[in-house]
Amino acid sequence: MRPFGRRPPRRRPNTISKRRPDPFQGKDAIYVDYKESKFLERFTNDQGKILPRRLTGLTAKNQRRVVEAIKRARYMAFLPFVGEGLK
Amino acid sequence: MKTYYECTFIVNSGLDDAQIENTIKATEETITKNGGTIVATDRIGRRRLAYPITKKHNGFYTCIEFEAEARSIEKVERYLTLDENVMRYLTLKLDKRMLDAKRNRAAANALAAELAAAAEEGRDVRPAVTAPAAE
Repeated sequence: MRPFGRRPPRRRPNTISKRRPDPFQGKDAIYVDYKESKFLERFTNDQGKILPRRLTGLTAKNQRRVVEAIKRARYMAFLPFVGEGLK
Repeated sequence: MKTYYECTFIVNSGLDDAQIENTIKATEETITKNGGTIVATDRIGRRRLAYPITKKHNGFYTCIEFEAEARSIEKVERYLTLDENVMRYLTLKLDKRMLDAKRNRAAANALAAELAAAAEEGRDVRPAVTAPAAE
């Protein structure tokens, strides 16, 4: 069952899906703690960029909460603004 | 009306433990002096910063949960700005739902840690009943 209004995934032949399992399993996360940096790292790539919903597999609501938490974590230096490889 | 807040700040970890403790105590005092009540102080401890702040690579993280009047936040934040040992701070207002979620998570984490520790020592723990849902 797809959430309402979600664009169906485009079929790309010969590409490996990088989609990860949704850790909240579609449930409402309510509170995503910006201090849990290890957990938030899952939603960033190795450059420290926030992954799109297409890859995180989160609901729109949970994605917004995760994004907010990541931005707070960045301000408090729990997570980098710019990832390791680029410094 | 009192609201629930959590304030995390980073203290220069180059200082010795007593000085860090003083800064934490002074912050708590500022909160209580302005009519707030401390609920919990979590000394997260020394941590490597993800990027240098004022040329420092490490910091001592502390998270204070407290209840206070909205207008006292201004004073607490002013104190944190003026204290040169505080490198960064972030105050969040927590509503009831967030607070409950946070408490539940903390309880589940504590339980999971306890179970893991018990399993490691080969102690007998009641399974199933107490096992928290995996995150």
